[in-house]
Amino acid sequence: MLALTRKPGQKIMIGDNIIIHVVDVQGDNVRLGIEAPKSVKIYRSELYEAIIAENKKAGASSHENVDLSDILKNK
Amino acid sequence: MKIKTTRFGEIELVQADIITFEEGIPGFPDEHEFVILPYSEDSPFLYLQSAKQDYLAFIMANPFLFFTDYEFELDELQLEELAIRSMEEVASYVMITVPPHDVKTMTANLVAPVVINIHTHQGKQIVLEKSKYQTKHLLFSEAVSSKGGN
Repeated sequence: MLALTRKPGQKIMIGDNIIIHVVDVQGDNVRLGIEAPKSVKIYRSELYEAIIAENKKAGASSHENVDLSDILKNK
Repeated sequence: MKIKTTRFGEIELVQADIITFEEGIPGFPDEHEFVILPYSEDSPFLYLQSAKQDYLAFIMANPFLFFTDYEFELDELQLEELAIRSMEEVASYVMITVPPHDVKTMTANLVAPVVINIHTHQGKQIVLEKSKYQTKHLLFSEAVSSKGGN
């Protein structure tokens, strides 16, 4: 991992067409601006990681001998 | 073509049954081919079964049967990636997680629906970055609330 220190107003370029702007720092919060082609997806990592974790749980849970046949009847 | 599954034994498939997930799904980036199998005749649940790994299958459900207010938008890029030109081509499902021994507390991942183009057989799990939804919503509660678990 490459670690850089930047001040608000400075930027980081990733490859030829991704730019991270360090917009502002207020206390614990860093405001970032990201310029990237539409094809590059940008997510808050905790959301993406939560989805990975949930998919892994979902893939494991369907192994249980779960009986879903009465579900509609209860609804 | 036959695929082996732990749950259903050996199944005969034709190419048309295979749904292609070009980018895999989060957590399973190398899984590009799945088939959708109904849980049973009347069931609102389905299996998303890997065409390559016999043990890998996910339970999915039609979200609109359980969450009447559920809605999301696909952006231009997502529509393009799935070659979607009209809503008639789209089938949406959500992944279901069933806690062991507690079927009634099963949850749906509403923040990452599985969207399928039923004509081109392309699929993708979409991350709804800006939505109020979370990865765990109880199926058996009155309404969709923004208080899911995470």
